[in-house]
Amino acid sequence: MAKYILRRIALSLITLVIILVIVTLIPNIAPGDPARKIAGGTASPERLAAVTESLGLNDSVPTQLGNLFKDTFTLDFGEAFTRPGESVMGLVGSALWESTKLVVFALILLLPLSIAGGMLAAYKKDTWIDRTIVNVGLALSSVPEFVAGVILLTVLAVPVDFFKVSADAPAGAGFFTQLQHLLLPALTVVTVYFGYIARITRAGTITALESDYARTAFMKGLNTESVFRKHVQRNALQPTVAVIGTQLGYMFGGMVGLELVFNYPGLGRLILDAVRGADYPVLRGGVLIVAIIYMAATLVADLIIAWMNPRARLTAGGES
Amino acid sequence: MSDDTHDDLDADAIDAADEAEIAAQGTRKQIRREQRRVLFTSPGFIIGALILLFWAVSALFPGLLTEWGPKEFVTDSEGNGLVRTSPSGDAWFGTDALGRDVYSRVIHGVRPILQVAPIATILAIGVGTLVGLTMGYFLGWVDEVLSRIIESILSIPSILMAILVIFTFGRTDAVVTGTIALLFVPPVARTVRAATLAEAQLDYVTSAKMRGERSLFIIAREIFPNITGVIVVEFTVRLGYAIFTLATLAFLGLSGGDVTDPDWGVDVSQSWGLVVTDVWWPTIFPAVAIATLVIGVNLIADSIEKALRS
Repeated sequence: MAKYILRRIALSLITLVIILVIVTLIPNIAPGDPARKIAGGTASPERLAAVTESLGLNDSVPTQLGNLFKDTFTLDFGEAFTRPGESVMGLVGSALWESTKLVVFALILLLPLSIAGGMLAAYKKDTWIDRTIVNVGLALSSVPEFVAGVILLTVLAVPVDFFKVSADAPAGAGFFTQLQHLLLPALTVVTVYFGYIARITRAGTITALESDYARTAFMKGLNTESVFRKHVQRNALQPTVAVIGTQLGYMFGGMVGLELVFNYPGLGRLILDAVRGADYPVLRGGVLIVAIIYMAATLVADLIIAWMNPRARLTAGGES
Repeated sequence: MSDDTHDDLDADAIDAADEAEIAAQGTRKQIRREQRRVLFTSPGFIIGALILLFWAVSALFPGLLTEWGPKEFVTDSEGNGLVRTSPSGDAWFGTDALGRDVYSRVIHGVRPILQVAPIATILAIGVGTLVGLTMGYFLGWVDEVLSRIIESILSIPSILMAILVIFTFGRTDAVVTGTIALLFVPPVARTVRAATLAEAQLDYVTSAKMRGERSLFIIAREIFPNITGVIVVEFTVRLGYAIFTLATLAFLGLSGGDVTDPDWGVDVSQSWGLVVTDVWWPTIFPAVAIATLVIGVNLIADSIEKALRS
């Protein structure tokens, strides 16, 4: 197990290094003068020089890369370009805290619902219950989250006073008021992800139910409930854990549209504001933090799977 | 006598082998035909195809379906301008904050998506298939290196990667198309790699290798025809994601083009603030339009995948 963990961490570090190289290369390979495009055609020479400086383009590529390595491993991305005096990490940190609140609340609603839905669909395979869960889930999970967000906003927040239009609770609001404000965006996450997680759980459960050990357990005379609890659950949920791991990065940083619709100051919103304000240091810091979260989440998911299933320890990385 | 028997046996064996091959070819054709029958009769495919057909007609001939132009200001029979009016006989889906016909903008608004999404998807499938075939067939260090790069790109949500690239490369249609194409190469390559790997271990590839065929021939003429199903599924799945990503980029204000042009994502971004004042129609109709198009494409993708597995 120790060997597996070490190998898995080494793979994550290689991935991180490649990301740093890609992120460094992007402004360097952009055609023309990226600073001019970002600053706008009418920018003064001083502003242009400042933007070039903020992109790090005055240094050679290896120096830029070296600086980014240092910044990433010390978690210090310098000052924000549009808000002098404020550190990028301070802005990213507070946005990350807001995103964490939303993601945790959404997961508390999402996981029991979608896992139960997926197991029910597997158990009632090929009945109308199964088809409804799978098809409704498929339809909902293909919709972009900002679309689901504005639709829920219209049908729930406007007519029903209980649902709040803005996810950002007033300052000093109590715990439950904060939850009340977070409910609608969290429900949007549930809408978008329910089908996806339920589907994966359903597939995993069907594989486990049709396996030899489950058949043996049934033939031993165990009832459905104990077969589920003792033999199926542990194996059926492995794909689900893997998928949650890969989706956490998206939940933290990818729901830019959702955070915009509900005016929520999370990581996605921070990154979008950085784009609008031409603040490259914040944009880069935000993107790298999301990548690190993704790596940590997939790492933890893989370790959980290895703990659930010893065979998985043999194939580090979970590929091929 | 014993020699004769031997020859007979050989001949019999050859005949049997021939028959088996003919039968195998027959069944493969039959399987294909059966798969097509399953596909064309599945309700998901029919609904998805009808939705896609409707939007394709809207993109090609929007004038046939609309009375007002997408940038025209709607007037009633007495010539008064109608601004922010709810759905009515004059404007089925109501009018937006500037007095334009929401229905007409929805019908015209599909065109920018259906222009960019398929091109980006075809580019991604083309490059991704080549990369995936190379990785899955040759394996070794090339595969190892490319796998790590793919893994790295996939670890940043594609919308963030798109924002980063479009921010530095500029907001033009060409950049948006190229970015989406580039971002979809890694997932396509990964799928094709897995399919190639599975095929490369089968007997027909081993025997082609033993016949001394060149790698290019084996990849192009032996393996590729057997993974076209996987590629078709991947194409439809990616098309859905391309539409998803394009609509999101437009909503975030990161697409190229003129903001007065009809575009679903842009229209939602310009009007969703009005929802709280009960003016829901300029937002909800384009939002639902996005949903129907993505759902339609995904229904088709799902049905093709099911048919191939049947």
